[in-house]
Formats: sequence, C-alpha cells, structure tokens
Amino acid sequence: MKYQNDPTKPDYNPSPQERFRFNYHLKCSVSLFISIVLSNLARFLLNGNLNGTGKFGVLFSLCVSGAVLIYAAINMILFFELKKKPEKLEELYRQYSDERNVLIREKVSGGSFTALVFIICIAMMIFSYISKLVTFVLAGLLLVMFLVRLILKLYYEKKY
Amino acid sequence: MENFKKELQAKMTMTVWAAALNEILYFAMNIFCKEKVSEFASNLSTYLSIALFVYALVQWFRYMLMIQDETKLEAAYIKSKDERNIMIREKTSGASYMISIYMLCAGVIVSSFFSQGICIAFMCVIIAMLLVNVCCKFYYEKKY
Repeated sequence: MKYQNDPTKPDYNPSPQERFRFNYHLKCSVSLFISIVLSNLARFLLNGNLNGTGKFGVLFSLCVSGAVLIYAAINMILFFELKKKPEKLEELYRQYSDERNVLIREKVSGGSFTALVFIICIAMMIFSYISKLVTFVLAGLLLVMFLVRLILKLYYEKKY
Repeated sequence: MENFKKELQAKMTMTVWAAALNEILYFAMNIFCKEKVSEFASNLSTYLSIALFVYALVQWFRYMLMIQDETKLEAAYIKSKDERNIMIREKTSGASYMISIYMLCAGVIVSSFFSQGICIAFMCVIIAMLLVNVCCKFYYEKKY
C-alpha cells in the first residue's frame, strides 16, 4: 500500500493506518519522557541522605526507568519497521480493528474491572487483620476507582 | 423474564454469602490467630457485614415490590437489557480499568519513595489485575 499523503503539506490527512502507526511513536515518546523523569528523580534523590525506604525508592525507580526505556525502544523499532513494511502495518491494523477483537477487548476490560473490585474488597477484608495501612490504601484505591467510574459514566451518558 | 428473576435472586444470595463469609473469616481469625484480633479489624468486619446485610435487605425489598407489580419488573428488565445502557456500562468499565492501571502505576512509583508496604500492596494489585485480565481474555476468546 502506498501513502500519497505528505505530512509537511497543510492539507495532510493521515489514513487510519498511519494514525495507528503514529500510536507507536506516541507510546515511545511518552515512555521516554517517563524514563527520563524517573532516572532524573532517582539521581536527584541519590544526592541526598537516604534512609532504607528512600534507597528502595531509588532502586525501584531506576528499575522501572530501565524497563520503560526498553519498552520505548521496542515501540520505536516497530514504528520504523512498519514504515518500511506497509503490508505488515496493514496486517497489524486489520488485527487491531477486527470487530471480534474489539468486542473481546471491551469485554475483557469491563470484566476485569468488575472482577478487580471484588478482589480488592476481599483483599481489604483479609488485610484488615494484618495491616491497617494497607487496608486504608486499598479502601482509598476502591474509592478512587468508583469516583473515576462515576465521572466516566456521567460523561458517556451525555455522549451517547 | 424468568432468567432476570433468577439473576436478581442470585445477586441477593451472593450479597448474603459475602456478609456471611466476612463473619466466618472474623471467627476463624479469632480462633486460629495467637494474638487477639485488633479493634480496627473487628470494627471493620462488623460494619462491613452490617452494610452487606442491609444491602441484601434493600435488594430483597425491591425484589418483592417488583414481583408484586409486573410493570416494575418489566421496566427493570428493559433497563437492564437496553443496548445503550449495556454499551455505556461496558465503555465505562473498560475506560475505568485503563485509568485505574495508569493511576496504580503512578502510585507504585510515588509510594516506593515513602513506604515499601504500600508499594508492595500496589504491585500485588497490579499483578492481580494482569492475572484477571489474562483469565478474562482466555475466557472471552473461547466464548466469541
């Protein structure tokens, strides 16, 4: 497949496939940004006097930063590879936009959310005997999840 | 309609079971734990059970009202099977799930600098999320 669109022209109108490919670029940019922020945060904190928790935080953020960097690299490779191989982009886009796959994706995230609420509730019950702090964290998480759901519900009810 | 009635009954039964399990857990902890169960855990367990029982009672009350009045039952059935409502429910849950994941990831990183306990708790939640997601994916791929 050949793309006649030129991104430098003002009437540039990207095709859905091009938009799909651009998502990899976006993912890569966001991941790079997160990785840079995390590694700089770790470097900044390393300069100060750190206790046990601080050291754990620095080590943890460095590991996460590394993982995110690898993720960014994978996305960047995919972005350029898909530019070279339009047939592969077409195939990936077909898989992504396939009705069955879209339905499964929606069902999976909906079902996972419901299951997760139950799991957190059970975890909260169990952790109340072990740690007060973790119980409060889980309760807070549940509250935030419900708030997000409420806001989104109001949004979608207005939209549809 | 009969299936809808069964669904409502199942919801009530599940709520009562959840409250009962909570109480069983409390008694099990009291029996098997060497140390006495903390006041916080005891209060939480009691209030949670009360809340669940009250919820089951409200559901039972609504169910009784619906059974007596067929039009109400029909309205509730239509509301639950309405395509627009189903779509909104699915979209809302899906988007909430994604936002929750991003918030949790941010929470893991921020909490790692303050408390290892909270960080590990968040990580456990993320792992549980991924496991549930994989299980759901397998289930729905077989179903559709």
